Amino acid sequence: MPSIRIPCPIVHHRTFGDIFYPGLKVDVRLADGRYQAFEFILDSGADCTMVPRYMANLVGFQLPSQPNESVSGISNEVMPAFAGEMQLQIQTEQFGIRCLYMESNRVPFLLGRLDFFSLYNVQFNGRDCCIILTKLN
Amino acid sequence: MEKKIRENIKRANSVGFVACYRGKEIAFARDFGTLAKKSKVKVLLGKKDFIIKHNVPEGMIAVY
Repeated sequence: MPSIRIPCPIVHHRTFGDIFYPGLKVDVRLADGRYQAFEFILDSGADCTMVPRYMANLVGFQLPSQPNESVSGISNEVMPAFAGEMQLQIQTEQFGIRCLYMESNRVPFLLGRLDFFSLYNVQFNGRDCCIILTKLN
Repeated sequence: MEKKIRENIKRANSVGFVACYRGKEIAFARDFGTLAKKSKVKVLLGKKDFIIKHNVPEGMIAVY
């Protein structure tokens, strides 16, 4: 498979100026089989992919009655989460990944390393503002 | 009109989720569940050119 080159947006900050934003359009398979596009932040610092809790309703994933995982981030605040999985599509490539459905509905869509970085070699190109994904054999 | 202006100011200063159809923002909510339950979002789910994004106000540094 050839590499996929995905252009990324730039955000502007008053102090630092333009900052490369690794926002990646990812189609998520919904419960009825259709795919819905979400902008995920491709986050090499995140152990695994995480999404807000309500995403489980959209994809038809049955959450356990209580959170079975917890997540810690830069604030040292521990957030409860549910381990699960999702079916994704980037351009024409479909794949499944394990993920966390966070108990909160205010967390962003983060595409982390677990599974995804075993499927793709990921290259961040801040100069040309793009991400290049190359499927690993 | 005044309500609309207030909403726009509140929206510009808020972290949350936006739904965009054909490049135009059609809905905003501070939490994803609220956004996904909006009727105009539900009818567009799965449609081409419809995307849902997390949004950080311009000028705010985001670190995850």
